[in-house]
Amino acid sequence: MDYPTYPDKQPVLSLENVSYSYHTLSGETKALDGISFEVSPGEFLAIVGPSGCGKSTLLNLLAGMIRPVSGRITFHGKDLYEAVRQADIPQIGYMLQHDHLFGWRTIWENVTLGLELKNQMTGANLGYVSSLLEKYGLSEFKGCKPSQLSGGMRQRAALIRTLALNPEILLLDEPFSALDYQTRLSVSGDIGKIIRENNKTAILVTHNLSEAISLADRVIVLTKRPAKIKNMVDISLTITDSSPLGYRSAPEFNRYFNLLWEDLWDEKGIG
Amino acid sequence: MKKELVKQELPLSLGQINYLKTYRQHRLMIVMGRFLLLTGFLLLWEGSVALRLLDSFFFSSPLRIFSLFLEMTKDYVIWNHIGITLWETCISFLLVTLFSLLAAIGLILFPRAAEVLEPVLVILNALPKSALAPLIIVWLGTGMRTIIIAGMSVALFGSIINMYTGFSQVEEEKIKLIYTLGGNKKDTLTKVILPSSIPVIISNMKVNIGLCLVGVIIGEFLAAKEGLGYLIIYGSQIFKLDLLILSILILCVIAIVLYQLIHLLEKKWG
Repeated sequence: MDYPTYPDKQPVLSLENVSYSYHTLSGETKALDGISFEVSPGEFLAIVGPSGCGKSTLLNLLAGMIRPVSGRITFHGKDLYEAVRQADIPQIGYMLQHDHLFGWRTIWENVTLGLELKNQMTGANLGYVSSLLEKYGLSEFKGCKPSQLSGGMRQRAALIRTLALNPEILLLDEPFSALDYQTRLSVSGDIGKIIRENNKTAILVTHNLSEAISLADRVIVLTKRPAKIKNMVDISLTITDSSPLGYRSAPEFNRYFNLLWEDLWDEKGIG
Repeated sequence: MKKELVKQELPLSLGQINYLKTYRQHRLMIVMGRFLLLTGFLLLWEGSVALRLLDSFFFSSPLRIFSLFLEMTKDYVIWNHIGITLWETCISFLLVTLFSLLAAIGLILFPRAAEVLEPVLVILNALPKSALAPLIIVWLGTGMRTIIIAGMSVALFGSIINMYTGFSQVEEEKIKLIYTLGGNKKDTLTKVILPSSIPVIISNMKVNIGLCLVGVIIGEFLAAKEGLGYLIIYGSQIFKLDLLILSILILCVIAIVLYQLIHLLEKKWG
């Protein structure tokens, strides 16, 4: 298989032969088996795979929440699990499936939660958050409670909450899956744009092939559990406009879609 | 706010006017019905006693109870008894709220301890707490301290269990969010678990205030020289049914007032 390499840039993240297992009384479940890949700075990587194959486990490993059973994950060459614990400010942002904005806080109090937890409520940091809210159309809703916002606005607020700490890497765990189809299209477009404008490295886990193709520079296909890497596909679309539809109407789109679809179909379909 | 104002300025449609009219009539019927039920009951009671269908020695009568109340307010005796019972109830309620909050926080922070203690809490909660009152009297003697502890014993264990259950039902993902933003265990408590459990805490308080009142009355039955519980026992011992029923009626009022106070709290923060 042809693994793409980025010889000019040191990888931000690198996984070498990473495996992980869950233990319960009824036995051991192997979730990941010998996963290796590298992520370059500024890259947008999407991971697709059949339902329950271990994608979320992979994100938890990349967030430093859990430690691999064997193999190594490094962040700028250092052990990631240790690096996450030593960092004063989290360098890896994690966006969960649901926005989880706290109903008892205003939007402003929600998006500054990370700064509050880390005692970083400095003028410069708050100014940065303000500018993000301004730029992405939420500044007039600062004082609102989350329940007063639409699903798409809430998701943007959740992203700004993650960006507030200015992390180098963003992990996205199906962040659009709770939205209705129309909102999903426009929000995924928005969020892709925000991530690129802020020069973040991003890793997106998704079920949705079109989303993966239109957002990512590279797509990794995982096998069913225990997950191994089945294929890695570099995505390069010729686009005329950067709307969600623009990506989807690129001439290469269907070829990528069929390629990935066949890979997943081998694994007995997408869940 | 703005939207509501605009709505009121619009002329109401005929259908809306009719709806509001029917609604007001319905409310009036309900209030009238309740008023008739109360006055009917009092009239029936007073009438039955006056016609000697009921023995006033055993059943007292609304007028006799009312005149006893007026008499007892003249020398402030009744206010003293009410005050004592209220004070004991409020103190045991506050202590129960405080202790069960601290205990539930402890259990959520130390899940292993929670697992060990679970059967103990379940047994203590299942126990009919009034059975403990004589034991408390033997240990602590009679007096206000005993009564406050008797009041607490009725509510405390259930309250700990309820609060702990409420705390542990906070979504796992919300707690994970705090960790992803670099927070620690203490942050999960102060930023997620406690704020999201305020409705649970308040509805728990609503149950506790009633239970504390029950416990305080049981305590006063056994170990008091003052308070409404004492008046009830005293009234029954000297066959002064006016006094007994008056005390029960006052307890009804106290229970309603205390419950409504917490209900107001709930409306504001719940």
